[in-house]
Formats: sequence, C-alpha cells, structure tokens
Amino acid sequence: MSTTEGRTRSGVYGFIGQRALKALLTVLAVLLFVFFGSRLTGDPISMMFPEGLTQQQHDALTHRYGLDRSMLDQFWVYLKNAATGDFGVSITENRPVTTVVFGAAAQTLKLGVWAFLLSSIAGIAIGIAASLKPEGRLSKTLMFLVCAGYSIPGFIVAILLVLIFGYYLQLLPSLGQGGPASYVLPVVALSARPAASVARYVQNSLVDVLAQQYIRTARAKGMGQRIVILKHAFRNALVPLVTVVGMLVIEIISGALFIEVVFSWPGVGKCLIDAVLDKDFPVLQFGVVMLSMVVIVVNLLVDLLYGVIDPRLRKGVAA
Amino acid sequence: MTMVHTVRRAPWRIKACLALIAAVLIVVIASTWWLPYGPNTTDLSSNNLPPALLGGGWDHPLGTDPLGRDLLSRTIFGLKVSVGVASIGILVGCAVGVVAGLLSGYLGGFVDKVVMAAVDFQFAVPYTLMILMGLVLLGTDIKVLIVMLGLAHWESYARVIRSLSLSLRVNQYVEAAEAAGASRWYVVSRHIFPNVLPTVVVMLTLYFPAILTLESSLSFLGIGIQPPTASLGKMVGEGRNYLITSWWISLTPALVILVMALVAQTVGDWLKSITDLPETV
Repeated sequence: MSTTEGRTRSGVYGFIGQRALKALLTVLAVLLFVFFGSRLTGDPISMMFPEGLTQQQHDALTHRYGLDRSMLDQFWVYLKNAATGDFGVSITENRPVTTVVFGAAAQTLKLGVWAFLLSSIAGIAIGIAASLKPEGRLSKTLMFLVCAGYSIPGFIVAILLVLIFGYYLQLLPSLGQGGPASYVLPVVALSARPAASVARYVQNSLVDVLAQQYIRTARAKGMGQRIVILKHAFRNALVPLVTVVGMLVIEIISGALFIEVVFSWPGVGKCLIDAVLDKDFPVLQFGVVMLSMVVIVVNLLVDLLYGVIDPRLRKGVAA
Repeated sequence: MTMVHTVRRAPWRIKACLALIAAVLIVVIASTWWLPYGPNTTDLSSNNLPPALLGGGWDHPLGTDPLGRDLLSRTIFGLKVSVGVASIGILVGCAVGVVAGLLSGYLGGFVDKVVMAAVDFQFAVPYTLMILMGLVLLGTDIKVLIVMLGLAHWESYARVIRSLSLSLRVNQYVEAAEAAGASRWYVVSRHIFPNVLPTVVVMLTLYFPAILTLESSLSFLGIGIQPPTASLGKMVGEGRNYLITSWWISLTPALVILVMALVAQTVGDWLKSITDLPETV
C-alpha cells in the first residue's frame, strides 16, 4: 500500500485520521460487497434454506427480512444489524453465526499464537544465517528450503507431515485436539509459508543493508562479525519489522483456511470451508467479514506504526 | 534471438527446471491422444494396487485407487486439468488487470480514481475469502472457477501496468502521435501496449504457480474442480481417507504438485532477477 500518496495535512493526527478513515471505508466496502453479492446473485431466502420452502413460507420470510423493500433500505437495515452484532443464524447449527465463528476463531488462535512465534523466530534466524555468506553452501541450502516453504502449498506440507510423522514414524498425533503433542504438526504446517516469507524478507533487506557504507566503516574499525550484524545491520534491516508482523498475521489466517481441514482442527478455517461445502451462507458471510476486518485492522496498525518509526512518512516527505 | 541467449546463459538448475517444464507440457499434450487407461475407468477387480516398485505390477506403474482407477493415467490427466485451468484463468485475470491498468494510467482522471479504489480494496482483503464467497454464490461450475482463479492477481497487473503507462505516455513519440491527431485507442494499442507487453509476460510466469497452487488447494478441499474430473489437488483429497493403508494414492499427486510448485517458483524467481520488474510484484 502506498504510504506517501496524496498527503495534504501534516501532523500525527491528520495521518492517523486519514489512515483510519481509509480502513473504515474498506470495511464498509467489504460489507457492501458481501451484501450486494448475496442479493444480486440469487435470492437470499433460498440461499438460507437450501432444502426448499413453500411459496407461502417464502413470501412470509421475504417480508420478515424486509426483502420486499428497496435495495438501499435493505442495506441500511443490514448495516444496523451488523452494528449491533446481528449477522444471522447458522443454517446447519442453528446458533447465531457470531457464536459459531468466534468459537472457531478461538481454536485458530491457539494454533496461530504458536505459529506466529515459531515462524517469526525461525524466519528471522534463517534470514540472518542465509545473508552472512550469500554464496556459501549453508546459505544456498537455506534459501532452497525457503523457496520450498514459500512455493509448496500448505495442504501438501500438512499431508506430508501427517504421512511421515503421523503414519510412518508414528511419532506424533495427526488428527484432532489432544495434549501438547497434537499441536506440533498443525503448528509446523501452519508456520512453513509465513516463516519462509519472513526469511525471504529479512534476507533481502539484510543483504541490502550489508552493502551500505556504514557497515564497511564498522568493519574497517575492526568490529567483529557479531557486532556488525546485530548492532549495525540487523537493527536497520528491521526498521520495517512491523511489515513482517503484518505479513505473518495475514499469511497465518490464509494458511489456516487450507491446513486446519487436514488435521481436523475445529478452527475458523475448517469452519469456513465446511460452510462453503454445506452452503451455510450466514456463517460464511460473517467469517469473511470478520477475517477481512482482522486483516484491515492489522494493516492499519502496521501503517500507523510505520508513521511512528519513520517520521518522514507521517510528515508527507517522500521516503 | 535474445530468448535463446538468455536461456543458454542460465545456471544449470534453471535449465533443468525448464527441461522439466517442457517434458511436462509434452506429456500433457500427448495425453490428449493417448493415456494407458481412461482417467475415470474403474476396475474393481484390481483396486488399491500398490505402485510397481512396491510390489504392484507394471500394468499400473503407480498403482490404483479404491475404485480401481489407474493412478498414472489419473495423475497425467489431473496435471492436464490443473495446468489447463490455471493457464486459461491467468489469461482472463491478466487481460482484466492489463486493460484496467492501461485505462487508468493513460486516461487518468475519474477512471484512474475508480480503478485505483478497486485495486486498493483488492489489496486490503484476502482474495481467498472472496473466492470462498464466490463459490457459494455463483456455484462451482468450472467456468466460474476458472474466472475466479484467474482474477486472483488482477490488481497487481493493474498497478504495475498503470505505473508503466504513466511513464510511457510522457514520451515524445506519444506526444507526437497525439499532436498528429491519433485517437486514444491508436496511441494505447500502438505505443503503450507493445511497450508493457514484456513486463506482462514476466508477470504471467510469476503468478502462474500461485494460480496452480490455489486451484489444487481448493480442489483438495472439495470446493474446486468437481468429481469425477481428476485434478491433482482433488486426488490428494480423495486419498486422504486411505493414508494408513494406501498412502500412495495421495502421495503421488502431492509430490507432482510439490515439484511443479518448486520448479515454477525457481524459474519465476530467476526471471524476476534478470529483468527489472517494479518492486511491488
């Protein structure tokens, strides 16, 4: 996202206000997309009751949900309901969708926290190790692993982990939730791509920083490799550390959509995929709205933190 | 030709990757006329056979699944479906993105504002979520699936092509054409588009593995390509219930996806490193 475009007001508050407004507009756009998507592509009543209804029931429900009113009126009602947290009831479970999705999200969070820790630590470590001697054998091996982790789809990583550690070596449980051991495979599978992304990012920026004049100066002054890397290079390479954090959150969420199913982990990813399979539209639309909001808020925080770290951005000076 | 030169100077692993891609394309095209068995031909008398090297016979080199379908034939056919779907899809999405980028960059003004708002929105919301919505609202018809998969990166094409055409349209030959009274269509099609074409080709290579991966992930979950059509992801999903007894059913297509993804990524990274593509891609 461009951070330097179209800035007229300077100052911290203007900056925060502008970013927040943009995020709010995006949330509104998501709601608009979900709303009009469901209204334009079919009849939401038949969507909510796939098993079919009599004409009379259909008309009654159409009236009850206000679907005989104008599109604009309907959107207003939809927004009001959304603001009060009323997003409808799950078709398959007959509970409010908010309960269903939040319950699942809590399960994803249990994995996500560990995946976040693992992928940030592993990603940063691999990124540093791979940039010390870019032409060395260690770097090449690591970068190959990173390329693999980055390109191989998550569900393949998950299936291979299950086959090797679950069935062949029989070391770790591969299905469902149990003790701490049941977390290992899902967390590793969920961390592979985010860790690779972070490693790519750290390696890229470290290689750039290591080519700078002040690194040569530090080396010329006789400083050891460790001090040069940790004190001079890494700090500068990690000014955009917040980007990494934002990247991780988004990648873990997208990864969960495909990986939880493999491990039958009852998180938000499995919940949404089941909703697609069962055509449980209310659950799906709320899941989409909620996850989009998480991503939008994370991006907003990243933008704001950038402004804090790099004053040039909030003052509107081209970085 | 410059392309031949570039390939000749490439490191050996890139050459190996390119050779593998060529081999896959030949097999996939040849499979249109010849496959050992039909991809959906069932034979319950020889079901769940292991691959030849694990005690099965050479009748079915990669073994068979619970319905007795030949896994080699299914894998090749699935590869063809996956590659085909990704290729058509990416052209659709690329066309949309490039047209949006050209219009927004060359016309500017209101069109530019609208396109950039859509691009910003697309960047802010994970596309996978929108695909899930689309699959429920529009159904899992293969044409719908192809278009939705292809549109996955339209915003990246739009943004890169926009910034390229912004810098192209201030060139003197464009100004000369405009001064001579050339129509907008003429300028865009004769002066702007040919200059952005090389970038478009590199971007196609870069995004192809991502589309392939997305298709196999969706098919694996049962919400992509629908049975009985074989696709690689679908086959991994079908074999998931037999991981303990007949693990090869999932493993073969899984390894094919793994190798394809890795090879495509390696070639894409290499192409990116030898061309100067704008940062955001």
